Amino acid sequence: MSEVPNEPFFIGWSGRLPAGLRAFYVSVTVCVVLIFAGLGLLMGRNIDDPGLNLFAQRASESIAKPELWVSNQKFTGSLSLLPYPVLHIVSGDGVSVLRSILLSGSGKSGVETTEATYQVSAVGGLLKRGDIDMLAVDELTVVNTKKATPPLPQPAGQWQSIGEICDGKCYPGGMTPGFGLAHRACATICLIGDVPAIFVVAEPIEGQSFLLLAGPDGEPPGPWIREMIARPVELTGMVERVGQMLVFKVDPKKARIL
Amino acid sequence: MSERYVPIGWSRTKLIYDAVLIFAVCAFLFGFFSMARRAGLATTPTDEGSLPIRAFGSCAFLLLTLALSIGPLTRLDKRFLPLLYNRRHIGIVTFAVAAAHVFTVFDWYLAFSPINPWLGLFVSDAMFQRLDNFPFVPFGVLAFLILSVLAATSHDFWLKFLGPGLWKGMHMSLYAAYGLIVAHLSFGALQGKQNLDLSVLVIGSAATLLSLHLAAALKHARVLRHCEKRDLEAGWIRVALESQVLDGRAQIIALPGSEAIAVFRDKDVITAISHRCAHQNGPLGEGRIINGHVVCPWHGHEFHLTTGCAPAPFTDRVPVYPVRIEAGMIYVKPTPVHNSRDRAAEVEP
Repeated sequence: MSEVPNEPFFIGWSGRLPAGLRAFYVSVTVCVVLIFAGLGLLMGRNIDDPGLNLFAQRASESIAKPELWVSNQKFTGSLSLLPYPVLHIVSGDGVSVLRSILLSGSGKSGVETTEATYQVSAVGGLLKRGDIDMLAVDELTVVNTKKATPPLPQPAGQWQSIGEICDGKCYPGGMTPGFGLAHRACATICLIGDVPAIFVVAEPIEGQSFLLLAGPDGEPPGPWIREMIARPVELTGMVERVGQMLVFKVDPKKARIL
Repeated sequence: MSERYVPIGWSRTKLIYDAVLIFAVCAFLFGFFSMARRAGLATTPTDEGSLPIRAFGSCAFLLLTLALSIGPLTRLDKRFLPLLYNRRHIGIVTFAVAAAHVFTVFDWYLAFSPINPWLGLFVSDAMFQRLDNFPFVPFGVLAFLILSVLAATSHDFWLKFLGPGLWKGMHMSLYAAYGLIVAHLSFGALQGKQNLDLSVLVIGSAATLLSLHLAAALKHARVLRHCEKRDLEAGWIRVALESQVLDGRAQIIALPGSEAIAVFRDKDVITAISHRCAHQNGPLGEGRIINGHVVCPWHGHEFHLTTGCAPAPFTDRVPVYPVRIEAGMIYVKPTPVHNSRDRAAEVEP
């Protein structure tokens, strides 16, 4: 009969490693810790920045950020409700609209209002980036003494344009705008929460680089936009100017992912 | 071995094992965060929210790779067996790190939203029609559900309650979870990455794991002797020459199907006992004999060589088989003895 090899044998419940294995396990411990630490350093070394923005306003701007982000701003004007609430600030004589501001609620929610008869006073944080003014509303008060006259839509023709569907809050800088999966997921959640949908165009339309997105009858766009969010898309439809805001009434049948 | 159910039966080796494991996790996270910050990658305060998501996610993947590597490593080199004893603690830590990944996702991408975060995981990207942009989140959610079930049923109570076969089968779904995580990363993070580090980690880890399993399977196939027709003589299996079985060791012979018999020598006595441990189907034939009991190399469960019974007060038992020795050749009858504490396996002269 051959000689029995003297191999150390570990019995778990004994609570002790055999003497012959201790040096081996010192090496295993060092290796495991070094591999974990090394891979941690490697993975952290070149991590991509999710804030890198392909729709930066200037070529030199690698990270998109709001040009203005100030809290506790107050505006008074009339509301247009479709496709999303927009606050229009009119001139002193009430003839022209000086500024049209997109409205959203707190977080990834839209603002809740049905008021179009009287003027409203909105207080909140103002975000501004390029053409977009967005007010994240903290408080919306109806000014019962002043009747509102929302601007009438002015047709601006039929358009076909290439661009990206985003939410109107993150794009101006409510969060750090980015690209890819994280950006798409975040924008989708925002749009499901009724934050205004905007279309950032590759080439300006009527001098503007974004349009408020609507369905063919001016209603908020339906679920058809869900799979098109944050992807390069081509949209076709009628453009209207409401105050200073361009509204793109998209024909869903002609919308396509590029 | 313990007959009482306690949350964790701590021992010195378990404490050291867990301390090393947690230290390794901390080393990974510290390395990740310190390097990411040093490189100035968290360019704006809001970007910082995505760092822990990535750190916890990649750490959980690494831990799962480690947990699944231990099995084949023990087949290739028996010195790794002590790592197996406490492997479920790696599973629990993996689940905890994966949960941190999920909840940091909730706290970042799905925060400030009126949508339930679990629902948000499925609706945030729902374009199932195109493979090149197939949603990656459902793969991760399924993997996390598997990890959750396995973590919840990891205790010996569930092993006893479900039985070793079902419990082991259920916990083999860890491989499915691993596949789902690879899909989660392939359809998700790898698509958006501009550098190769994560790709190297995923492909390298999966390739290492696959290679270890292949190497272990090849070695196992070489070591395990299969019962062939010529070994069968009137219902008895020819095992080996008596002199070929070393004292305190076993010759293992695989029967048709999944059963295998370990033929042990304890000094001058030859006995045959099931190769599958009653606890978790561990390889009893690779165990050692202590006081007439074979000790399983996986978790230290003991079974008497001739009765197959665990020492009192335990009630586990494994099949034992009749043995016959003729002209120095060992024969085993592949029909187990209906063993009890009072009736030893038949040993024919």
